[in-house]
Amino acid sequence: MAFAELEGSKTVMIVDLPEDQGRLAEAWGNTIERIRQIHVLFITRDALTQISQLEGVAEHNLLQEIRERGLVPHVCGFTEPNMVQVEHSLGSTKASTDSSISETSWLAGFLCELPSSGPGPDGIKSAAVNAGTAD
Amino acid sequence: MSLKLGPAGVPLSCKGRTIVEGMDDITTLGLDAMEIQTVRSVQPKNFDQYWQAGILSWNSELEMNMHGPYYAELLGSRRQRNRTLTKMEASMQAGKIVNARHLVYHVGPYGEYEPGSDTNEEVANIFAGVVDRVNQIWGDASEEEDYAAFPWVHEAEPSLVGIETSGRQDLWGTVEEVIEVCNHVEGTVPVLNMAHIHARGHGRMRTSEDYAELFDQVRKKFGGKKFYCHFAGIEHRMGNALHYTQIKKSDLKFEPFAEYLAEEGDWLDITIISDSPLLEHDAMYMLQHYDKARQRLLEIKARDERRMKLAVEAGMTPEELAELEKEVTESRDADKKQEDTPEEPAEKPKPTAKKKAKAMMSFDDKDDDDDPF
Repeated sequence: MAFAELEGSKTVMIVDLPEDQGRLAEAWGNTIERIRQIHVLFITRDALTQISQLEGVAEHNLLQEIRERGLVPHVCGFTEPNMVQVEHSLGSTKASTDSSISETSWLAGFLCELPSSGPGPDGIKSAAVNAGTAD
Repeated sequence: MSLKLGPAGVPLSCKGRTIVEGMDDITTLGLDAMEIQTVRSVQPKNFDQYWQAGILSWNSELEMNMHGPYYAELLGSRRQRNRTLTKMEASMQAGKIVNARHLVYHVGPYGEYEPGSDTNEEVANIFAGVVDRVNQIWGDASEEEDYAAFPWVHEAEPSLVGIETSGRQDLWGTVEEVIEVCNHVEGTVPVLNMAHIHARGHGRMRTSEDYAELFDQVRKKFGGKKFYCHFAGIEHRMGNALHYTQIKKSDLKFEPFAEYLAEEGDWLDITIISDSPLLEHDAMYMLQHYDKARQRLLEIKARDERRMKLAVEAGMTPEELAELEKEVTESRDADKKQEDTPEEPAEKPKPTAKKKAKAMMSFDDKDDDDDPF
């Protein structure tokens, strides 16, 4: 998904499980190939578990590891039900979400909030929180 | 001087998605190197594609290289190290198939080790094993008949194992550490990731003199003239890389590097891989800046030669010539200083849409508000 914002074109990638789960390694390999071109990487909860097994990294560390090794500006995902984690260049943030908000709805809200939520870690935190609030 | 430039992956503008299609595009763009990212394992259905890439590389001037796993933990626990080595094995196998000239690896976090000679020795031991394994994979005489159609497997030198500098303080891989290990292990080469060196050095790569210092350091301590580098824009803070950016948006500029290559890089045999988010766009940006720097140098040389010739014809003595040279140098320095001083921007007429449409695309447009990147 190519997503436009004021500063220029940014790329958001959603990593989910493929229909044929035996091809997860191949699919994840293709993501890694393009990791330098991704600005926001969202990993679904199902994929998070599988990829952490594939990489041999603890599930709670996976998002941070991917951000640090791949230098992706934002890496996010639901680490627990109704709890989203965003790893970014300036640190890490967690936000609880309403139970009515699905993963993809949260991501859509986060992308909408991000350009107007202000700079720095506070801006990212605010976007993550607002996206998780049903109104 | 040999300079090879190329992207780290299939070009973004490539209509196809395979490596071979990417190689075709790279050649069309006038670039001459490519680095492909690591594979977990070579799937049987991808074998054809990889061999085709190898053949294309063998029959052309396009240099293929391969990047190892991002999740390297060579200094981690035994389990972590073995896991990393397993991933590296896949890239070594794939490197042979695609005729990779370099296999580039990270070492990963220091873990429980402290920076120093003992840690470097540990890393050197691991890489000695990696080099042995690469040589085993490439030089198996019993496979000669099986690989008759793929001559590089037996005729070419095995891939060199590149050890990449790191961009964070908690990761092994300062320039000094990399050089020390490469010095101890034959078959390895330092991979100078300029963005990482810049970030880790708190923004140290600013002028062409900084590049001269870096290459002199490597030449003195490691020797040789072959270099493999990565270049991209980078956001950094407190000596740590935050994330990659396009070159135009970073404080790491390519112009000083281009200037150094044009003025003092005659002795180099260098491959520069663009791992910027804009891949081939930035690789071409680098190529254009290198050509410009060379052009500028040639113009200066031609002007100097002409001035000398005229002076000799006018019957000047060597002392007078030396005095004249001094004056010219001073005037050139003064001009340069004046150019560097920012001037008050003159009010510019707003470009009309028609003019914009007709304008030729250039990497140098200063006010490219329409730049989608």
